[in-house]
Amino acid sequence: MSVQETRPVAPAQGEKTVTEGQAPDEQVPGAQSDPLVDADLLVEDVSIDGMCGVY
Amino acid sequence: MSTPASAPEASIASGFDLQAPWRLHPQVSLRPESFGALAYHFGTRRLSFLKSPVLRALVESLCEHPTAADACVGAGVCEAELPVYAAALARLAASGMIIRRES
Repeated sequence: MSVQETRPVAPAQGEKTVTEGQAPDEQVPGAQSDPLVDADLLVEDVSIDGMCGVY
Repeated sequence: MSTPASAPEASIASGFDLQAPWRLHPQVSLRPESFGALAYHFGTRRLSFLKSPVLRALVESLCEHPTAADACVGAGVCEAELPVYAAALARLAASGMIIRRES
């Protein structure tokens, strides 16, 4: 009884696949982080609308 | 103190003028936290999380340096990280947390 190996289909160029447990940037070799995206990690604006009267 | 060579590129990329003098807005209170700091603007009632102790130190020291680029160097930001912190400063400037100061 032969076991057929199935090979995963490589994503088309430019497409990203997300594997469970891995961050998206780790999927694509040579992926460069966008400074604007990384800045979102450093500064987070919080909405406190609706908290009027809370002291 | 030397200005990072990549400062002009980081300025262009983020739209933030690293070569200008900046300061914390006088109506902003910066509260140090273990993760970095909370910044609250009493005028606009905006609240922001600064999720890096380095960014907190950078913002706190902006008024002590002639340019934001020098403040980055003083806070220990390396050239590779400069675009990220320039973009973070750009966000703070856009929300009014930091303002340009007169030289």
